[in-house]
Amino acid sequence: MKNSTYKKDRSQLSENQINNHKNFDKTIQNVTPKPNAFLKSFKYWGSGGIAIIALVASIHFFNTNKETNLQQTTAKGNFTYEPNDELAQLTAIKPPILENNIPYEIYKINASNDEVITTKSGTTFLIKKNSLVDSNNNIIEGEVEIHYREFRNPVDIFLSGIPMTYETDGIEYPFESAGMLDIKGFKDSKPIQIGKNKTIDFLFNSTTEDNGFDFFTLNKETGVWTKDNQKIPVANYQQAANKKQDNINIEKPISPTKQNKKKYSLNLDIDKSNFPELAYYEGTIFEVNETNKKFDPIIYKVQWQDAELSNSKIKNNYTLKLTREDSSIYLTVYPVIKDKYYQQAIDKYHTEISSYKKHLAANTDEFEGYDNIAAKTISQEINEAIARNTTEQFANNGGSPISVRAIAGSIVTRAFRISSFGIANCDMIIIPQNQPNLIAKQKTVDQNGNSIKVSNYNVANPKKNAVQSFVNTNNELRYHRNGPSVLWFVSDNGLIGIAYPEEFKKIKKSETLVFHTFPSQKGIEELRELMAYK
Amino acid sequence: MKSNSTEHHFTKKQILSEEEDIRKAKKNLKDFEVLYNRYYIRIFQFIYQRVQTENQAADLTSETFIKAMENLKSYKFMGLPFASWLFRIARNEIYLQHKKGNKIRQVNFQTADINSIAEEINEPNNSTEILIDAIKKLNSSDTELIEMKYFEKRSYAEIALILNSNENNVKVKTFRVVQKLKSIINPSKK
Repeated sequence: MKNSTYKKDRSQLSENQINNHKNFDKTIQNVTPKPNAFLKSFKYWGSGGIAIIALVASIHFFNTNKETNLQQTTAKGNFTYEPNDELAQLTAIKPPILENNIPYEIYKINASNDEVITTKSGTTFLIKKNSLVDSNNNIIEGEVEIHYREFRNPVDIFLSGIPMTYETDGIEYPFESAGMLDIKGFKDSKPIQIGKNKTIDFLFNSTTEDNGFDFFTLNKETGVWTKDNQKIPVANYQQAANKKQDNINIEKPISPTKQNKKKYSLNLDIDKSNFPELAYYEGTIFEVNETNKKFDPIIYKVQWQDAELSNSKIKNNYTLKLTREDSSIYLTVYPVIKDKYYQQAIDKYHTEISSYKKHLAANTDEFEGYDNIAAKTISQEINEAIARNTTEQFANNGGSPISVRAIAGSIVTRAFRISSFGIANCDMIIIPQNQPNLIAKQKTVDQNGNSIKVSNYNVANPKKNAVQSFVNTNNELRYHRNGPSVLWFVSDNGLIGIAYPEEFKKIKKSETLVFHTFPSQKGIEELRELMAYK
Repeated sequence: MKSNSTEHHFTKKQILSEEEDIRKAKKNLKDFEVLYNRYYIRIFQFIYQRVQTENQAADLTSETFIKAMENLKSYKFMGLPFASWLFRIARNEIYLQHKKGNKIRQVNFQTADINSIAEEINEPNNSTEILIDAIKKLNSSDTELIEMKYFEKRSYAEIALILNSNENNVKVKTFRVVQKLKSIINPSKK
């Protein structure tokens, strides 16, 4: 630790010596009433060096038009995006650019079943049957909608307008987030809740590996975050995925297809040792694939000398070569089950697929071997729910939760439970370590030298998943010259102005900081690019 | 300074009774004296461990309680011992003094404490100086963990309370710092 001295074997003070300094009456005389709660001293962020500012910190909100003209996006898979204008009505959450607010993914589930959802980011959560209630605490049955979104980087956080500070000992600290989520439910368009003593279990795909994050929930009306005592362990699911890879040789049972008597079929006596999958179900015959355009039923009348079966390029199909003295024909065929054996085959399939999924789940449990009992339980319950053939929804059009998470780019999972709908966050308070080392007079101009009136700024450190907003009242910026900060504003006419980290390094005391201005959409893209978040 | 390992253990009843003391103090600041008397020595010892002189410790302890009283109305009871909040104010006061540059941050330790670290990192033959040099290379938050765990002999639970963290995180972080010390002393074993 720099600028410190290290003292060996200093004598300790006795309690009497310490008590000699004790004087409550004198101490209380020095207490001065706290000024207006809105007046705060400047703040600054961490050792990485973020610029920040002397200000009046009434939490700023950008004025936005409540009328929305949003584009609805529908992605592949069983979910949709919902434009979000509801937050504009709330007091503590104010998206700065309403049309660019982070949309919800919408999932339709049956509240009477265990349902597992894997979101676009790879987060997986389990809603157990009968765990949702209406406003009168009655258990909800049948179809409900779950609206879900995540904020995974500083730009998402900025666009959400969710306050990201936590007040403790009278000081407001910025949050660094390892991922934040917003979830709510509706039955027939009416809001629903999670029932008493019920939870939704999450395997949350997270953006940072550090395990020093705590769990917080937000009161949307007041903007106050409350710390939850839940411990959130971090698991590396890439390792779990590798384990799964080791088990790739496990054969997945193929679901039986019932014979269609309107189609042509063939009963072949095959050597099942070469095709064990065809020995799986009794009563297996072959139907002729309709892709055989030249198929002629006359083949039934021909005396074939030989029949040879091989795997086809078409999944679950085979190529049948029928040969006689002077010619051969090739047919694409697939296995089906004769009517009278079908029920027996289906029963066998259900038994086998359940066993297969359980085996896979057991070998892909990210929290296997972890000490945290809650995390292990969450992980096991989700994997078992998948294994029970629970309806499972994927935002990314299929794939196991682990493969979706891998596609989404992060490598760790956090396990936790929520007991109410709303906004929850894996956060860490950023404790200030270094004071800003430069002060510049602030005059905001665009790249053409035109003055821009700006009252609100945002600052983020790309190395930390954190963003802070502030109000500029005295045209003075305090910042770390070599910090990696990105500073930006949204002007009244919707332009986004960005000051780049390299410009912080160049600026000298009292110089003017130049902002590059962009139309909002382009500005957001630029910010995402700058912070390496697509 | 050796921490009394039972000091940080608060029963639910104690914490709730403390909430009542806080509520009274919020109404009438003079009632804060109960809390002042309860925690004065602990806060003083905590600060004294981190500064050069007794008078500096007395001033900062006084500042800590002044800040606590000034901000008491914004204090939100969240089921944690009140001491946790006081420790955090004290840390902040020490930090501010240090940053202002008019007070030197001091790390106080006993020779025996250094020996216990040496054993922990399986380098019992290293001299105190080598270990101290290694500790000097740590950043402030790492040093703070070593200070609390090995110099002040605080339990993980108490460190968690002071750092507003949880016990498990503190354990993991402390383990990492010890590993870091090992690799500083013996880079080849990294």
